[in-house]
Amino acid sequence: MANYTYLIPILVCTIGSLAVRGKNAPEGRFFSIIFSLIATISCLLFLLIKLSNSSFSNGIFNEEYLVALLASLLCSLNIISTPRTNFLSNPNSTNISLVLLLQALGIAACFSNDLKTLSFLLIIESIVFYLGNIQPPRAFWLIPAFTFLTILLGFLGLGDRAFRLLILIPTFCRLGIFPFHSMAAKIAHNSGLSVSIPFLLSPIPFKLLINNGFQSDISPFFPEAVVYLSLASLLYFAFLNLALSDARSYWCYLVFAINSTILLGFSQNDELSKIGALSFYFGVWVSLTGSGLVLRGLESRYGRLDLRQYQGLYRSSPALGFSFLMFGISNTAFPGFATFIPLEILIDGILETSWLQGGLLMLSIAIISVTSLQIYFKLFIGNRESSPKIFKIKKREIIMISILLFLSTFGSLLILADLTNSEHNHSAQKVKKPLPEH
Amino acid sequence: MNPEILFLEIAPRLASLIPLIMLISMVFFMASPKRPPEYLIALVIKIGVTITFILLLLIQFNLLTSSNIYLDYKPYGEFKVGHFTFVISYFFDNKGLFFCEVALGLAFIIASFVQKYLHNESGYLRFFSLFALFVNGMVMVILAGTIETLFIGWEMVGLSSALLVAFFQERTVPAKNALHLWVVYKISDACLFIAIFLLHQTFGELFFPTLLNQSLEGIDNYEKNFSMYLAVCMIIISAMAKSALVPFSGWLARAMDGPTPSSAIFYGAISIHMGAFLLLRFNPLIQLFPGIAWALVGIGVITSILSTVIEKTQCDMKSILAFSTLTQVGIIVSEIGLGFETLAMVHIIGNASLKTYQFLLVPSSFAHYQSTQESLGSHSVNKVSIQELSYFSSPSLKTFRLGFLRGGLDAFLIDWFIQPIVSFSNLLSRFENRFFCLKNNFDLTDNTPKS
Repeated sequence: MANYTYLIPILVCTIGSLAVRGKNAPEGRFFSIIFSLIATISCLLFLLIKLSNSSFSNGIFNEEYLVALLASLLCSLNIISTPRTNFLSNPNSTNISLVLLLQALGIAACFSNDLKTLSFLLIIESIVFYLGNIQPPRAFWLIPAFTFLTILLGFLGLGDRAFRLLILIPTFCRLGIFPFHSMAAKIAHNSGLSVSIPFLLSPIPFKLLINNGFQSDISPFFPEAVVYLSLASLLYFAFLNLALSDARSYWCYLVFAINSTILLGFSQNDELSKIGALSFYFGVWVSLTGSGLVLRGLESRYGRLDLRQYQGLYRSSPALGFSFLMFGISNTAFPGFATFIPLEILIDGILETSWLQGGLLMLSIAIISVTSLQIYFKLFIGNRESSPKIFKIKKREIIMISILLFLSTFGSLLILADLTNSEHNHSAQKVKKPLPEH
Repeated sequence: MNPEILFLEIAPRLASLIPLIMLISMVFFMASPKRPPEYLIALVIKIGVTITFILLLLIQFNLLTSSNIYLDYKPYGEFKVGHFTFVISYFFDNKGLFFCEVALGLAFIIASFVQKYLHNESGYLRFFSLFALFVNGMVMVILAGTIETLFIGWEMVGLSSALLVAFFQERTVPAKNALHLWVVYKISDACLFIAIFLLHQTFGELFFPTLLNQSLEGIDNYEKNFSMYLAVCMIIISAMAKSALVPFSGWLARAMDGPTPSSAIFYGAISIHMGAFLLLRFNPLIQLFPGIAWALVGIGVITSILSTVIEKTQCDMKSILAFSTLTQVGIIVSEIGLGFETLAMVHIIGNASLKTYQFLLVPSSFAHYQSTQESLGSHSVNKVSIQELSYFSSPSLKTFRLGFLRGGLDAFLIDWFIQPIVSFSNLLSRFENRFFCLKNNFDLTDNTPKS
């Protein structure tokens, strides 16, 4: 009986999604918040019950309830802080039901470690998009179709290695790895940020990556090919970010760049990089959600933000400016945030493997860091004409920002405790490599 | 428990915690919906700085009166994953303590000055928040017991410096200059990170405390290899970028866009000397490579000469003072290269104190000039100006041009580092527009050439 408790938050979100569909905006807002919060609180309760019986013996990253709680909490914060002015870019609640479904799928992904189950979730997630008012690009159907075909071939005896190889293609499409990023980018542009945030930061593709393993048994060149693909992708998005003219594009391509960094870590052959990538993912998941939600708050006030000129928003929205800066520097692993030590570990691990890869990673991170400050300046500095309204920060936004800032700073303590105590540590100690020859 | 032992347990803990508490309180003030009164903001900073100062004085007094020559304190224990080790540690020795006390003293003066200087300014709280970040970073750099601690402080100083340059948010030029500064600081950070990695690989985790103890015995056990050589080079580049030494001197004039007190603490007093202090800390390692040490002397001399020439052609007080500081920093770096560590330390402290005083006089320079004239009863100051003008009269208009263009270093950095990156980014943006985002309703990227 206890093994099926994880179904409760998933069911709550699914029922909530069906219940709010077709309702008008105020009702939809109220019910979506209630259902989303019930799911999050149930995750918390189950986690506490589990904690009272045992401890995190396998490390927090392997603790499904904790990761599910984080996934659910981020979705709940997204729903709670949704601006009232333009409710999810939609007069009715079609898209909010989509967010609730994404929350359910995210929680489900956290409890699954099987590649085939995760692939099914990927199909469902893609199909779900056709239910909302998103208008995904025409080629988007290729993701569920290809995934379905791969699963089918898997059941027909394709073999584990080939399955793991083929499933990477839809995973890369969802993560926005270059040159597969077009569909994810277009969805981020066509839908509101409320939908694109849980879509682009969904745990399903990451779980697929984590469980893929990137072993060289598929082909000796396979992990190396993924490494160079992720490096190319990282550099591409890092440089591209410098020349973007729209704030939403910046956020979207920043997510792709960070995803490429994580992929680079996972595809390495040494344990240290993998640990770094995993813990970096957890840190950056929170901060990217934070910067996306702050950007959504700004868009709801001022519309789509053009980066070709200085916007001067600080005077009217100082709190959002402050939080945008905080999440921006957290994304680039500034000291004091949960991303700092994981990225240090990741770079350290990669530098040990290859100077070239480590150097390029550092260059990309430095460029992303420069870009984050550049975008902050573009948005918040300048002499904007005084607005007719005072765009003060709302209470629900204060709650959202406070929780996310708390998680992205004090979350580092949890990550550090886990990294020090978990079994990763022992396995990493076994793999100690000599210095690369010069 | 023995009171002395109790003191030695509590004092370092508090000295490392108080700047952090100061920073956290500023973050809370920033996040609170109601703005706190100005006196409260300044009071928190001044009390924090004063208590840290007193604690450091007491620790130093204890060191001077006891047989201990240093005190090592690890506030958060050791963090280890595989062979990756991360330790935050504070190292209290006489050299570091003395410099930190002077820096905190100057910080207190600046905080008192700002209380009136930025009165009723909309960015009052923002200034003090960034100031708290800077003080935190400064204490970490100066008292760092591990290279990781130094790196954290290094990044904090960099961010606070860049954001303070862009302090006046209604103007866009300071933001552009702050971004320029941030690019240089990122180069510095990246070099320092590579140095950390190489030093960890070569020496292991016990290296930095050995170096701080000035004990070369530990280092002599290792054979000089390419990694060590590269690490020393990276440290020097990092210090050069932070201290605006040649060829990174171009950003210094751009950094003068911030408010005067921030210019005083950053480019007159502490931040600009951070590079020199880093070199001072790593000097035992640098001296193992005589070639690099002599190169350092050369860099210092060139920086001094060039900044003297640039200083003579600047047309605003702050830039003149900034390049005059840089002249001294160049000499300090030369002293470090020659191995005169104590002289360099005294020089840093003297220069930092004098330049803080001079920078803080800038806003009232006309009043000061008038009062000087009145008290002298003559026009002696004008005579000096005429002498300075005659410096450029006949022999070298080329020198004047060199100074006026700031040695072409700013243009060099833009043409050879920033512009190629921006051009490449624009190229990628065109590629992205052409092949991936054809059906978007709007143009994703800006294809206009950037200056």
